[in-house]
Amino acid sequence: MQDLLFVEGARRFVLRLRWHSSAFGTVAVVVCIVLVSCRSDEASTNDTTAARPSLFEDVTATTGLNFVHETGTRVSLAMPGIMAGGGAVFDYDNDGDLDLYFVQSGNALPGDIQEADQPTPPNQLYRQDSDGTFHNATIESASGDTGYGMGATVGDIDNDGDLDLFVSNFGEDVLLRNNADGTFTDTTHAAGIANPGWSMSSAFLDYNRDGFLDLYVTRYVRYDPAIVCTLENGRQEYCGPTAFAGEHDLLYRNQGNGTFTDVSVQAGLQTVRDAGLGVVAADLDADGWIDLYVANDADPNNLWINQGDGTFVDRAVMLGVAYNRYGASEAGMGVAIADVDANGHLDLFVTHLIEESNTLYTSLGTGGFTDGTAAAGLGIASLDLTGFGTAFFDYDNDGTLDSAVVNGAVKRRPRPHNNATAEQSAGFWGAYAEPNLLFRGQSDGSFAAIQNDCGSYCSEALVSRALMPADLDQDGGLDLVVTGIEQRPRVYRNRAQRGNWIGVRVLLPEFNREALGATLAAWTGNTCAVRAVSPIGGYLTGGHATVHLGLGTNATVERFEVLWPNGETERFVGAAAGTIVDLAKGDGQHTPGPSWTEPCIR
Amino acid sequence: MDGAVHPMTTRRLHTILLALFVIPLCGCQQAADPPSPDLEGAEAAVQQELEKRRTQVLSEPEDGGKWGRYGMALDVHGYRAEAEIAYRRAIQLSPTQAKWPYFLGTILEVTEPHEAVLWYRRTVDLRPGYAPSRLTLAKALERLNQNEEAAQHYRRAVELEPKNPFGHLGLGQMALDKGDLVAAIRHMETAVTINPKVHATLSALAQARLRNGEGAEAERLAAAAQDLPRKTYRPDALKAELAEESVDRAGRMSRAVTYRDVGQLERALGLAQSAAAASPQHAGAALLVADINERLGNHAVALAEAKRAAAISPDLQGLRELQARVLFETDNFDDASKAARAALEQNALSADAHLVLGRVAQARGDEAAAVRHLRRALTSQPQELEWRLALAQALSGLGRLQEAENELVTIVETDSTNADAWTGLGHTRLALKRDREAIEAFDRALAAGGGDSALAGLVQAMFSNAGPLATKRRLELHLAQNPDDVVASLLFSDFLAAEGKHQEARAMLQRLSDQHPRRADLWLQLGHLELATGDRQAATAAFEQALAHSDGMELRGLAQHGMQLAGGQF
Repeated sequence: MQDLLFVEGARRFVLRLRWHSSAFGTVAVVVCIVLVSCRSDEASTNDTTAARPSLFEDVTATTGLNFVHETGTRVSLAMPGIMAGGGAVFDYDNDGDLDLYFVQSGNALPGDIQEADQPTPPNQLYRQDSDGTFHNATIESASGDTGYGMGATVGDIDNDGDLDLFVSNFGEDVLLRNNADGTFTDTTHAAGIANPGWSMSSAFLDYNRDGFLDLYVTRYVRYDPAIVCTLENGRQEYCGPTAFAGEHDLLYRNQGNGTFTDVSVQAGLQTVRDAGLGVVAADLDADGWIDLYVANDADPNNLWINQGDGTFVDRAVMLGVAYNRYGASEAGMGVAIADVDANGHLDLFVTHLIEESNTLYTSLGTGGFTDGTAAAGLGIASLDLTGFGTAFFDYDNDGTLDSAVVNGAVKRRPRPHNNATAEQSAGFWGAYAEPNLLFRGQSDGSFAAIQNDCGSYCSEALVSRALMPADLDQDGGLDLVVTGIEQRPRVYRNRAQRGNWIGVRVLLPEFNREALGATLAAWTGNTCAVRAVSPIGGYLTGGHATVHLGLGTNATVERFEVLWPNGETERFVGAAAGTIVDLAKGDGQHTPGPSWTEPCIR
Repeated sequence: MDGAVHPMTTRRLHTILLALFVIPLCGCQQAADPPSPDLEGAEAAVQQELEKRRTQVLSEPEDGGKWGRYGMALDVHGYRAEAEIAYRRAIQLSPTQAKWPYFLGTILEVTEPHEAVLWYRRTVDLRPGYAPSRLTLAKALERLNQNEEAAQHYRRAVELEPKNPFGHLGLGQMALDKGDLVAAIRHMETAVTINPKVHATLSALAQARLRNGEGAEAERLAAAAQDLPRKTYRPDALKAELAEESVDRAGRMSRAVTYRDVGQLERALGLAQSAAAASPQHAGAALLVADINERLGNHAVALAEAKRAAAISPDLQGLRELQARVLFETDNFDDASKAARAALEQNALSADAHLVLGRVAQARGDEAAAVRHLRRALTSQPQELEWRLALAQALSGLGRLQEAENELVTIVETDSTNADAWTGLGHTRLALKRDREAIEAFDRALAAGGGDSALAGLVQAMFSNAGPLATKRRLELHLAQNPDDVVASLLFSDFLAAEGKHQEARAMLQRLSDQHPRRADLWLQLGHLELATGDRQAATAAFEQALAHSDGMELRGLAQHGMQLAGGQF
């Protein structure tokens, strides 16, 4: 049905105090209510710890990054513009430091002649120099696709030791093959992945264990520019997915010769035609075959369980990851995967639209998942925000995973977010601007929202989309790269007081690449951390798959275990903190199976 | 963090403090004018409605109802900051009215979830017998991880509305959280029993069964849940009242869809037409008007509106499917097929398009093509039981009786009151020579309100399986319960005639023909009875009546054949 728009009415924060059970807490809340009832416009509890250093510092201005995202949709309010803004972080030239790729949308949608008289700006690749700054390497690398871009992902499709780049577009997607000399070649048509629809997030995985990375691409909707959508008051607004028909996602099998075959139908994906956005690939049932989890917008999510015979079966409903606790389909945007509660099983986290909380699906092992959002403390803070990119990462290297979510509305907020300044809320995009979220992981598996210590990452209201945690300056602290709609990307340098850390590259020497889809466990003292070997993901992003582990005060990891994508398990000796170690298949000691299926000891 | 830290004493303290401090202090707004939202870009109807409501408040500024109604109009059109002000004033002026704190809580739930809970509690205190507000409160408490108090409200909601599945679902989820699988399954089973067509309850039960080690049952339930509509209607009269306030085009369309989906087509049509009138260039509104007209049987109007939608947006999703449906229903099979194929070019999996092609094939006697298309339609929309019934008919027509039976069993497993499916199952089993199972199916069909076909099938099955006496007794029983059932009377008259009780049979038929003088089948039966007694003149007269009232080739042929037998002229 066209334009049955149920607008997510934005709300304004009027209370900042947390709810306490004590009499003091009660009185404090009531007093605040009184203030609100009298329409006090004064901020109630602004930053009381301004003197403390921020955990993250916005260093964008010093990085040399000058990319500005464009959508060309301020007048038309064409829906693809509001969903775009991805990127990738990876070492494209194998020089040992991380480079950045930003996906440009453009000044007009394909076929839109009204705004297309200006040249379409291309995607931009920035190479990191030895001093930590970036310089624009787009032209020299020939990586500047001019399609109406959405996101990117990276993987070594030809097992030649360098990372290739897939760009999802509104319009034909693009495959850029890394030539190992600092340049790329567009092999889209030769490779057979030129899909003319609307692609969103994507993931490389070896679903059939033939050693070559296959490609999964989520597809959103069959957009029709003739359809006009409105807010509840009738004002024109960007459409939501329910105004259009959905599309089934795509799975391309890597033929091993530079070409891909569309096996979506054979794999069973055509049975679901929902609005796909985020995707992660990991062995979620620990059977040695890589599965896929897809966040769908306003549709039930899918958990495609790999049957090992080239087909997938969606088990999301039965395993409890299709809907939220109340059986409602939510507007799934970004996805994060990690063993949040350290029980040895990978949990899933999905970001959502305003008025829907983000949802944490806690894995129970063979018993499926349960909606653990409220218990984990990840829900309430997200209710007044529209979440996109998200990640679990350990910013303070204390050994406990933290969480970050970047936000930005898809429809004008009826009133600015309470944390947004008047300046941030001004102008066209100010109506969509929202602050980001940062949560510190607690030892009991719950999270505490950080409101005052995270600098402009949290305080600046923007229209953010992609989130990429990465140790850009190789100081052992994960920095944050955030992209957004019609804005410059932000680089937030990690300034937190941090514990020890270790980086782990899990490698398949037989195939000359990272072991995407493997699962890593690391034992330190009496604790165990389980991580998916997965590229930086979440929403429209891609990147390298080095696992970053915080170790707290521990100086070493005692041992590692890897469940390889082919189902084998190996044990490796530990390593000292402060290094990046390689765990190569075949170098470890074979074990009958992963030992962490027993709960990790806390 | 859990409910244990929010005992009832604390809760009461909140309520008291709320009453003591908050509501009185809202008086600081007493002198304030009602808020004026920025109406830039708003539809004219919305602007007019808000201005009208605001004027009403200004005319009677101490009327809490006026403030509340203004709040509702602001709220439903997205002006929530202003609505919040209006609701707070309404609460102050009408402190015993439950809906103002309820709506205020709904607004605040996103930004101020703790304060929202206070207002929900106040709603519950003011209207303790209203279950939906307790369910809303319980959900808000769960989000805050205050599970003990949430459980109390779920329990009370179940007491108040035992037939509301969502209270049981909430209790089931809470039991599942605690690992009490027995209680979780019990609550969820209850919810599913109350309404087996709510995907939320079925999927929750599937997860509980999985955790209980019942993988196969979990898989069955999950598959059933996936077949159900994704949208779940949670009954809440207050929120429905709020939704009724929307006057914008999208709001009217949304309400029209809701009314359409619950079968209130005339009301739906009025709303859709007003939306289309407000936005004549909106293709979706035109399509919705067309869709509802099609459901009302107004095919010409439906086609005209569809044409109007096509002129605005030729590739509009669902347009060609609608055209195909209407054309099929008006027996324009060629154009229906063309429209359906055009829809498939847009979307190769279009269920509606495959349905139309399947039905066209069925109407043309191409049962194989019908089966192919209907199966594809059901791949996308397996919950459509009517389509599955059509598939079963097509399979039956091809002699694929076992497959037909499987489809029919699927239907009655989902909807045990589907009389058509039970009837079909009876006839299929009859054809499979499984008379006893056929009798059971026909009995279920009649219990579910099945018609003549079920009764005729039952008689046929019983006659061959249990003999004439048992069949006659069954018919007597049926007639005792349904004395005006014409087909049962006709069948019963056969038994009387076979027993030589012609006068009794004639009296029965004449009485019926007096009541139904235009029923050809009655006159036919009477004619044959007269023939059996040798009264050719009376038989001819009866067959002439049958011929006069025959409305189909088959009946006409039978009447003519009767007249031939009677030796009459035609």
